[in-house]
Amino acid sequence: MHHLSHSDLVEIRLQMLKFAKLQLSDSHLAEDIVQETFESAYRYADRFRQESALKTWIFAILKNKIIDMLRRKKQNINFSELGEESDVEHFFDENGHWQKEINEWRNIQSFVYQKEFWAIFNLCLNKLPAQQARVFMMRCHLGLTSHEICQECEISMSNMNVILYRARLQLQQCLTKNWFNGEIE
Amino acid sequence: MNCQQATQFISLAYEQPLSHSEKWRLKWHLLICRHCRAFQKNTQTLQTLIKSYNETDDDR
Repeated sequence: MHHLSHSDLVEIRLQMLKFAKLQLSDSHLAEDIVQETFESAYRYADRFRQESALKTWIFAILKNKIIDMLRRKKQNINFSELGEESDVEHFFDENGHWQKEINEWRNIQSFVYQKEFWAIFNLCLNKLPAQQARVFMMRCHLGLTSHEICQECEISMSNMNVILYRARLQLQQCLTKNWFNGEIE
Repeated sequence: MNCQQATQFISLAYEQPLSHSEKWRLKWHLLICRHCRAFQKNTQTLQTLIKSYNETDDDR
């Protein structure tokens, strides 16, 4: 922790808060969990020399704390809207064919480590209905099981599958539009 | 199978195994549809990408 500048810490804290809020949909809980994460991190900070490894490690602590909290305190978490029913329809015409062309993403290795890519990714994630973004991140990033997600969010398995499908479709469209289209050679 | 159904199955395959006939129908569709093949590839890319979320400054 001692290797991080004040502004680095402020930046990391902001990112953590954003992530925790998205997952917990409760800003007080998010504040608490970020605080707890920093306390845990400080206790063992001397083991970490490099600031980049340190950041990854702090986020790993945060992730684990969020998973624990989701598993423990599901009744306190306020799961709201299911997202609009019709948001997928504009992707396909009445015969179920693509309305807009979709192309394969290329040059993947060259952007994974770019800050700008993740800024666009966050933008796309924040555009999704809250429930969609949360379920998608629970499943694909935190790696909770389908069963756990259905319990936490009080949705059926088929609900969850629909939510994930919509999230994948929307994220793909948003990333294609805002990132990849400028990249095609 | 049309594109909308195909993309639903592509997504579903990450959550549960598809039945034999679903797999076959999807396979046939993918043979003839470039856009759904792109969707399938991008879905896989997204799946891999998301694992490095928040870890963009990781040491390689």
